[in-house]
Amino acid sequence: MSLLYVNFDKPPAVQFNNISFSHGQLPVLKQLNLSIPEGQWVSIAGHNGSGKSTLVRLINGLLHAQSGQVSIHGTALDDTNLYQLRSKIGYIFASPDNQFIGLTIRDDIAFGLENLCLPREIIEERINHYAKMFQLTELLDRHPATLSGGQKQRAALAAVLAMQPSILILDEATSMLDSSFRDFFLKLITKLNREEHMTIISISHDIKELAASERLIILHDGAILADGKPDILLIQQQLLQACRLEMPYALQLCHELKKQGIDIGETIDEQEVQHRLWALLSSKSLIATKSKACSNGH
Amino acid sequence: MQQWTLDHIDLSLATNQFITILGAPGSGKSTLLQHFNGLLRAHHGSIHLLNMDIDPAPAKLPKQLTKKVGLVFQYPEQQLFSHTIWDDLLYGPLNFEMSLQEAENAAKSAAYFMGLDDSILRKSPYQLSSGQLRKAAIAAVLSAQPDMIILDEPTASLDSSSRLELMQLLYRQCHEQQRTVIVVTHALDEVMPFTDHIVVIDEGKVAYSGNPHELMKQETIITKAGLQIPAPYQLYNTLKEPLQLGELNHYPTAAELAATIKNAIK
Amino acid sequence: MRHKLMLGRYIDGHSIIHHLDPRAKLIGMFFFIAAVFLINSYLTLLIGVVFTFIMMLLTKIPLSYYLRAIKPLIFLIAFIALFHLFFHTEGTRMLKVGVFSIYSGGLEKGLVSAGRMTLFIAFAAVLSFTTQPDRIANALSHVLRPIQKIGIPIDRFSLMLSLSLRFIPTIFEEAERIWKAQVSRGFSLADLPLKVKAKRIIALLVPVTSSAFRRAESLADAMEARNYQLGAIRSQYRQMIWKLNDTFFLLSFALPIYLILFMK
Repeated sequence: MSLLYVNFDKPPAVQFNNISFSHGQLPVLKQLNLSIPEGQWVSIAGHNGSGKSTLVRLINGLLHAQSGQVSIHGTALDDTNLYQLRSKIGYIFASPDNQFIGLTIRDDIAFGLENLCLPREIIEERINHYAKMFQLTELLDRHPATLSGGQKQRAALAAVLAMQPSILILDEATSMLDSSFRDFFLKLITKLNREEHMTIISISHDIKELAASERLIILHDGAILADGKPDILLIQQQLLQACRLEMPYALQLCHELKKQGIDIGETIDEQEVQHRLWALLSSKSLIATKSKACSNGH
Repeated sequence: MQQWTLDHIDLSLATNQFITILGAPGSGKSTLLQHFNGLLRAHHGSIHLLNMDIDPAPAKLPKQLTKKVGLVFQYPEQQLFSHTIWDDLLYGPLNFEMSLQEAENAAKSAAYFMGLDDSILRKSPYQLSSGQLRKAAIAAVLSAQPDMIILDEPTASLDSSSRLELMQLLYRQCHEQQRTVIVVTHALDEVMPFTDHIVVIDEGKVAYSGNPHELMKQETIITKAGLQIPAPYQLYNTLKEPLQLGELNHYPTAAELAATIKNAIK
Repeated sequence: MRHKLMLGRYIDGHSIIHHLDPRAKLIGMFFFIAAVFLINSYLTLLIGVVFTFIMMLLTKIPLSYYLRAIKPLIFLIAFIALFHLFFHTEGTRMLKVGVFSIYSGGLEKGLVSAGRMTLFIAFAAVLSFTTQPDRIANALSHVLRPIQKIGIPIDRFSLMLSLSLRFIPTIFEEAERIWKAQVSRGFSLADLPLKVKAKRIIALLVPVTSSAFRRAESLADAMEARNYQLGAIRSQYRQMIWKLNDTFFLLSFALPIYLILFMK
């Protein structure tokens, strides 16, 4: 799956060269080097204070590094081209309320488009298109105080995607919402990445979200601790601990089974554990018919 | 026709238990918990709590009720306002007219229970991390020594290690400190290892009230409430038939499940 | 608390007044204030009342709403009337009440002043009932735009205004949540001397204010992330189109103003 959607011919979507950032006297990021090719879906995990939010804010210029260079699509980010490059980068924050700017969903979607100086007809078109995409059409003229958290966050997604960015930054976009929103969100991001080749950079501490991405970067105390495929990194206990992530039940079971002398490898995916257990049990002829197994809701 | 947020709720809950009130957002569960300390008054019906009749009852409820029922709202760290955490811990007990000595003792024990050491108590709320703030806010409610503590989505926005830690602390509050703990949440998988009793609220009505492990067998109630059966139970359920396993009456830890599988295979 | 304040609320409808350009209504308000200023007799008051009544009818909003808008200010209106009633000594003496004497001049002045106040509130209600707050804010920034040229940052004030409109309900809700949380911790202002009350209210003010500041910071980030630049040129989604009705509306003020001026 991983390399099909990534474009290595073009310059990287995001490149960090020797980036250092300090918050007052406190160093937050130390000589960070990072390259994210176009079309890649990257997750960033790490403990609170590891520098995740700082890192992504350096991408769209909300923060300026004290040293080093940030490049977007091959162009170095500086004061002269900040707004032009920023227009290609969408940013979704964690709080559904504090990124809802307009008085209604309609006004909120229009806000970013007005900033891009788009003509009224285009704004109208995009409002209707993206409202439909996120099932917000009936809610277009409602004030945010009358909307649920999930509806507001969908509105934020509509508003940001309406600006048609090529890079989408998600800063713990689901942390204040429930699991049903997270399911919808994962489907959306997968679609944006696979069908529209959007570069996705997502900060999360939800294991399912981290596992769904194609590349996982783990930050620890301002430096990159690990950088690779999620299914390889997330089975490593020390890395999970470094991110303040609890080991998923499925993985715990794998470890416990191994202690019992049953080896089904290591995985964080529950479905995968089920399949491997079934395979193991059927090989020991403990399962009567395979069709019966399939009827149990797999 | 008027839509009731809570519609004919009939509940009977025992004290000194870890009770979970489960439901999807918008189910009415947050409204329900405000009835426990009189913030909201029922339009119809009666509530009898801790040997007191709340509804129907005098228009103004005694302050004692508020003291006995410690309510912790979502994102409780938002209500901290004192110069130091220590001052905030004293706020509740002093308001409820505990003596300074009593208040300080209560605050200290609440702080230590939640793992807040003296250096944290001296800091201002603005200097703490989000995990520490959450613990401090809960300690601030515990310091008033309520008979029961009700928490609305106590683990919201925390990372998974902090969530587990908090649940373990609440479990200990219940069983070590003999306090009734009621957790209102939609995160079923987090509470299953700890809860003694589950109430499911769906569209303002009680869909289930009873043993948590019995609930795991009722998939329709769970899915209708917009939730999912937690992984351990799902795994156990798929293995039940082929391995001829018995019914579950407690939370299956990974170690237990592995041992069970090992035994069944032999 | 929110629900008791009628004035300032928008009431949905499709009357002629609802569909007028908000700039016309705003400018009309200024004209109206000018006209009301000139009222100084029973006759001129009557002209004002008739004009205002016609406006109110045109909004197709029931009279009861207007009465509810006026109700909270009834004491102010009564005070104005009584003040003039007892302290004006022109005209013929009509009544003696203890130390005070009521003169016909005082009666007229009192009733006219009270009437002016009432008309003012009624027209403000016409404006707010038929125009959504953000449209009023938008209209205000348009009308004041020329002032931008002499260095007053109208665009900044207009941004402040629209963000306030966006966040006031949200902050109110949060204040209510914090109040509930503090009450649950034993917070109470009942039966306390004012000085103590003032001190205790910190438990509400600090959290709400902190949170408002935090919101402001997050909001600034969110706005910047969506390419907002203070002072930069932006396009406008919402348009206000000036129609013939709007011109007629403004011209209609000429009649009462003329009559009031020349019918003293």
